[in-house]
Amino acid sequence: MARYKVVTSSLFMILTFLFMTKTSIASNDLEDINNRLETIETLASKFHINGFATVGFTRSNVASTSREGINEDVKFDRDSRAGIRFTADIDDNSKFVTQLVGRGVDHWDAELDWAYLDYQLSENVRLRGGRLVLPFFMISETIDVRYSQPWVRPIDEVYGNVPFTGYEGVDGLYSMELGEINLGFQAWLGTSNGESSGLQFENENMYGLVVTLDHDDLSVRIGHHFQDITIVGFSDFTDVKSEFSVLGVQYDGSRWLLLGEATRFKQDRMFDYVSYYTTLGYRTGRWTPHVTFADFDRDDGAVQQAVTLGLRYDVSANIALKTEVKHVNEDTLEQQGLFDTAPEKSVNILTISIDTVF
Amino acid sequence: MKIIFKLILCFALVSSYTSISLADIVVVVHPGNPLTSLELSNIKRLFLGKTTKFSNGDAAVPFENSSQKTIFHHQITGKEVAQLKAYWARRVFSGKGFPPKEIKDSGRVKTLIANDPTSIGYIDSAAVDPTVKVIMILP
Repeated sequence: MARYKVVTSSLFMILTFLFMTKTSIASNDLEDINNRLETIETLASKFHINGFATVGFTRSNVASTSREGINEDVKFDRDSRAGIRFTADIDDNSKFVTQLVGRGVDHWDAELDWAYLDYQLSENVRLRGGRLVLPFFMISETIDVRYSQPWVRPIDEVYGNVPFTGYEGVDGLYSMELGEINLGFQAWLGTSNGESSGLQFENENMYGLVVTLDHDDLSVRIGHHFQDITIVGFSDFTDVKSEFSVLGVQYDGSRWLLLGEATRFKQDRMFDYVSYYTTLGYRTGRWTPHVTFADFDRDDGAVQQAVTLGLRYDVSANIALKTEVKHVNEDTLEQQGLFDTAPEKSVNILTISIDTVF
Repeated sequence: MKIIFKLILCFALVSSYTSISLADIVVVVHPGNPLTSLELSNIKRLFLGKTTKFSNGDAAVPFENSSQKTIFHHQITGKEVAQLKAYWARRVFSGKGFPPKEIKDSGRVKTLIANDPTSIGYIDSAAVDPTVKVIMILP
């Protein structure tokens, strides 16, 4: 009996010991895991990764190619693109941002659209330097993020006019709150070298100022920019002094959506032009039907007007399915408009695309 | 005509039923926050990243509540979830800022707010207790 007791008590002790070591290991492990999680969390809070992508197919009913690069052949590369943005916090006031974008039209060669240092100088002033996106238009900085726009692609009569999109330089952003109004100033300065549509640009003395006024769901933006444009290999197009003025309006209400931008481009040797568009949309549940009227009018007599009817369907909070028909009436085309050759009849461009952000 | 009337009646019943059955959402801050109420426009501006301050000038850090996000934004910012996503995409990809941190449910939002004097969030009214201070009941 006594022997039995000894055995049970020693067994009990062994078990207790085992149990205790076991639990002490477990709590050590937990602490370790917690510490590691905290480290990961602190690290993760210093990095932001955001991405976007679009796949689309498009075709028109004519052989002439529009400036968007669309003709009667079915194309999948026109609108398809993907981008990824990294934001790394260096300290409380500064961060570094890089954004890579690959586009179907460029054979998916990834381009570094953004690579800049962002420094918060004071509560109201931010300075940025590096590779930035030219702030010509209201949507310039998010032009590839199709999910953020109602259309399948930015309206070409306005947004297709500037072949260069990035610059190396600096900008200063001043923002203030006047009651419920946000007022912002953006001054920028830099140079822009790049290739577009087979042309090599070397633009210098570029600078400009943008003023943005934002109240509730309404935002108004005015910008004026200067630049000396040089197209390499064309002696006529060396240091062409030019000015660019833009007025943009956006109303993003719970039901109605209004977007519009008007631009005027003046230069001392090439042709001047004016262009504008207005988009009106109405949200009803997941559906947003919208209509756009766009106009491009150049000094040499080239005119193109287009009416676009589109429908956006929000599949989920990250995915939008869009379809759109752009109509360019033959009678409103002067010369060949923005087509490579004059189209033989009125043009209809059909596009279906899927956009996502993550 | 009779069918239409019945449909309207049905709809009225269903909508009154849902308005009763849905719990209210309340906007809450840390109990130490000196504010006793907040204007709707200030809340809207905070949750859209247009301001980083309460109306009295104190720093404010908003938190989203995944479980109540749809109704909250429908009522306060007037934006549906997809529209809100597009709004933030425009801000994120132009470097203007990031959306408020999203927390899973009312309980977790409450714990966060109880421990952070600068925070503001919204929770299910059923979750309210003295660890947080209600400054608005959603209309």
